[in-house]
Amino acid sequence: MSSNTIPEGFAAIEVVDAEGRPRQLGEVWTDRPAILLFLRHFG
Amino acid sequence: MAEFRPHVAEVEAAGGRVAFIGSGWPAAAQAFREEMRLPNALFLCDSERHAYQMLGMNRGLLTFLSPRAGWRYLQALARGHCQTRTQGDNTQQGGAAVVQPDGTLGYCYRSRFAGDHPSVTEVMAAFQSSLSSPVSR
Repeated sequence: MSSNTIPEGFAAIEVVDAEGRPRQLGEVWTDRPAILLFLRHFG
Repeated sequence: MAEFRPHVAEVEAAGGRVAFIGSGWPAAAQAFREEMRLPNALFLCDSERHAYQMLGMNRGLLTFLSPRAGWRYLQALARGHCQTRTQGDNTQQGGAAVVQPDGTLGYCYRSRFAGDHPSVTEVMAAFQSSLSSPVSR
């Protein structure tokens, strides 16, 4: 476990949601704490 | 990561959010969302794996073909978890992070090999801790 801050530029990473809409990763935790689960693969 | 499925509603009810991030494409994310039976959950595709790289998630053939990975795979099979067709980079390992609105990274786990998953107990404890943090109020 670590306690620090996210890397610079992490929030600005561009991803797409399951519907194909572009999103910025930082939207996930803008207004609430978030759990990010990094999957090894979908499936 | 299926072990986190029962906790998604709990996190949302507590005022948090869960995002499932994969390196595949939207169609694969949709299919996996259905398979997980989480129709309203947030699934994001990081096909370039920028987020994985920035958080230092492990990647490489040795993380995928290690004896420990093989042992975990056999354990999963014994529990009835049969891996179906996968989408994404199979040599990319996952992990988990808890992030607060001010950018505090309260928890970060980087899976060392295939089948090495973050502890649900640790992740949920970190999330609960983030709720009590002044920056999340």
